[in-house]
Amino acid sequence: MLQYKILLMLKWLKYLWWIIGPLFGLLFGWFIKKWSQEHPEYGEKIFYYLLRLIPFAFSWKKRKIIEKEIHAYITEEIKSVNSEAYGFKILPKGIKIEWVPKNKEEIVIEENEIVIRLGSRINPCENFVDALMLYLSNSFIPNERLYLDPALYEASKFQIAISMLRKRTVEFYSVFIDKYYKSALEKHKEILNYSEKLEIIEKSGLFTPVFLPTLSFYTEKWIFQRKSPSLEIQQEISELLDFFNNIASKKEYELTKGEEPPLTYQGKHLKIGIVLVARKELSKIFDYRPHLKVAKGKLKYNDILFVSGRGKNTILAEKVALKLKKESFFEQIGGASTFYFYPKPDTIIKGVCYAFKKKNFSI
Amino acid sequence: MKLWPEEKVKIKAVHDADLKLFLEKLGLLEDLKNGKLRCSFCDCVLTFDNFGGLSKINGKLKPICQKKECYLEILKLKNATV
Repeated sequence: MLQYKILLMLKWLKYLWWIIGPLFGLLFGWFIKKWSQEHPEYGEKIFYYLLRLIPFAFSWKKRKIIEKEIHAYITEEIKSVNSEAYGFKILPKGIKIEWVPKNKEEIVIEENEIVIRLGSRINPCENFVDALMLYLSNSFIPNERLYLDPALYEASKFQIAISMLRKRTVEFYSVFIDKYYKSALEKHKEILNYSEKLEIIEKSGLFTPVFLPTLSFYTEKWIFQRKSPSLEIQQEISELLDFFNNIASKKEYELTKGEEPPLTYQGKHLKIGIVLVARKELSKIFDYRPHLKVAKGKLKYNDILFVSGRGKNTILAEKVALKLKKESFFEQIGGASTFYFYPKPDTIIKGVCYAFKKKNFSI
Repeated sequence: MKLWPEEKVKIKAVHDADLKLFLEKLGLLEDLKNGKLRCSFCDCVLTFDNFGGLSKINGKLKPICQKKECYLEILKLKNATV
């Protein structure tokens, strides 16, 4: 209610400014006119400075428009991505556009720093996409990338960019594909293999709520243990990607293998379990209980467990998560991750996912 | 749970309107006007129309054009990944 009142007040103030502003301008003009008549020696000088102010004001306005658009949209997306990751910071840094040159200040460009050109280009979407890619290069999973195959990191960066551009118009997506994605794939074929899998994973809602938090979970642990990045870890992460890909493309997997894809991955370094709350025939009779039993069983042998439900099953997934939270040996990581997935080009379905780990007991 | 990060990625940018002053301050304006400034990656001659930005690598200023390949190259150098 208070928020609404403040918004209303701000709205009125905005309207009031349209009345006060021109009145103030007229008064100022009248004063200058009078004053310059009395002091003709300064009149010419003032007129010259006022003329110089016009292009400055226009360029300031143009800069503000670009800055506002980039800042507002990317900031919203950072919040949205991080809110899906149980408190893990997938994008740990904010964004700030700093225009150079500033008046009278010397330009200092630090080592490895990039200054990009923004402004009235042929395609205005380029401003946004250039800034987004530069931002992601500086902020996307900075610690996790230590343990990733560089091609997988690049592919993940492209995938997060795609997911961040999903709410924008097609023009932004086209610029991104043409300027970055296609060029990168042409030069580095290994990215393509990862990108195909990541796209399937992202569309089924397993990228930001499951894959990226899993990487963050283990990275925190490995950095604490001072574990060195190794090819073995890279290989396991690659296998983990296949594991998620099989779940995401369940129907194709069942057709080729004749069985359901496994919902537990147990490697040397990574141990992950997933509970997909989905079976109608079971939940009709036993409610949440069978899923809770499976979840408890999986958490005993895995480091991290995800309980996920989509569409109508979100309520049942919430029930399982609530019961699991009350168990004394398990601990929920962060809050619920609400996400959207795209099973068909014109369908968007809401889903929810919860993450759990075993409680650490220390004496 | 804090979702809003405190640290920020500062993206340095130059607006079209300030390009002349920017290059003048860096001492590159004359080279650009005389056609002596070239893209560090594709070696094309840089003009006011195709100037895409610049970076400092190993203490040297590296200007680039607006071609997608050159922009990707400069990002890649920064990341030093693939």
